Amino acid sequence: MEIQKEVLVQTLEKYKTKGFDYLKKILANDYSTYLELVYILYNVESKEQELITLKLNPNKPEIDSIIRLFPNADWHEREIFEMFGIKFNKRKLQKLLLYEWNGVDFPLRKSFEWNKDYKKIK
Amino acid sequence: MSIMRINIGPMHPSTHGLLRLIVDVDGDKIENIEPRIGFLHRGVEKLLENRMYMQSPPFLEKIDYVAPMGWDELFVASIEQATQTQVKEAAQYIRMILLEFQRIASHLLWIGTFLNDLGQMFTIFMWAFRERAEVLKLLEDISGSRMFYVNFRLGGLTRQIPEDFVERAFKLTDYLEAKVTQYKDIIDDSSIFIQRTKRIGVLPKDIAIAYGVSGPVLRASGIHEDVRKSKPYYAYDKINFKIPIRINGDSLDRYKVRYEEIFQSIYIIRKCLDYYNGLSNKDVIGLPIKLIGPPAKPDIVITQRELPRGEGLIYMIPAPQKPYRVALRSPAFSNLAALPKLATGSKFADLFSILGSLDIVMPEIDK
Repeated sequence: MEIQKEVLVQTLEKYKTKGFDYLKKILANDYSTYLELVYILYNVESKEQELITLKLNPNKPEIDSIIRLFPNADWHEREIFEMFGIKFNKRKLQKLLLYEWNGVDFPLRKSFEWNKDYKKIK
Repeated sequence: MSIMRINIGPMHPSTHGLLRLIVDVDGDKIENIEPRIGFLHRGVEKLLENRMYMQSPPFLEKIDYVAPMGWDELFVASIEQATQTQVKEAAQYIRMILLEFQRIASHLLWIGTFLNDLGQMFTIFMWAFRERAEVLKLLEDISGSRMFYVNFRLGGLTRQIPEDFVERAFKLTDYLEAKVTQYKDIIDDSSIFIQRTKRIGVLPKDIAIAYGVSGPVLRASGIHEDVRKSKPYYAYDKINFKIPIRINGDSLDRYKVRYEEIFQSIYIIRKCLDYYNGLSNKDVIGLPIKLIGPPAKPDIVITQRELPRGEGLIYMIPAPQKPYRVALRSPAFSNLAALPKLATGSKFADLFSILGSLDIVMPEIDK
């Protein structure tokens, strides 16, 4: 289901009350003209799976964090920030997950330049 | 008392890979724990985007070196789903047999290392490795490689199955059943083992769901969830196997779930061997590798599998020659993310009982 980014937290809250209380993964896709976030929710009782997608502007991608609803979103959000540069607001810890010294380039974006960083290493 | 900060790792025998833990302790009580990951990050998702479909399985195998076949099969299955390739019937049974043998090998290795973490030095470890070696020998004869198999092709496998495979596999299941049953005497009756695992690292049901843990860790908390049952693939729906469930959610239960899973895997293997034996057409060879991928349908593909460590998921956006995007959900990633919640408040000495019981493999977490 595709939604607007403003209603993300409300929508997920609604799904959570409906029994979709297991967050499998958050992932991002780069379609060059826009970025897409996909939230994979799961209902452990009824074994149903639901995909919630939303589009973001690639120049200044920002979205509200959902840690309040799903605590395991923490690592997924940090990974996505590191790989795609999508900033998650309303969360305390803004640290990178994998490389503490990264944060300039976003490797999983399609515009990422290969081998650029090798030249910096001396 | 004042808080003391202890650094563990990144290289430490009990972290099973490169994992750094920053632990704040008050006396011997853990006040806070912060896992630092990323030491083995190789950007597998990016690598997959830049390779033709069938060039990628070797990369996928390296992200879980304990059970490489699981990820290999998961990736090949997602390509099959994208290209709508039918898997030959005999190959379906053989794949199930191989995957269950791989699960047994993975659980055996885990039992050995877990007992080592708890100070039961090397007895069970050597026993488990003895049994695991027998499993690997069989897998080697099928695939040609002892550890990294690269054994799957679209629609089947790389090689024909040897004539004596069924007989040998039956013998191996008997051997495993007899040997693994012996573990019970030395592990379950060991008061040291019980003291170090019972009511240690308790993960209640609601927290397990909130933290998105999966596999044996989730099932030890009393949740009936297994992809083989909830979204059956191949012939898993034909086989009436049980999913071991425990309700206390402590380290002991996580051990028991894995231990019982070994016997369920043996049961599945025997059933599959029977089915395979009854087939008239035993051809399992898949399509030849073409580096230029077959035309993929543009829809998004989501493939799920029950890996030894939990639920693995591949989200793929196919494109004609290379995938446009592959995202991996690794079970160990979510399981490790729950460690701060699990370990905070417990004693420092119990940390490795808790960490060990999660059965993490670091390359899978860092990707």
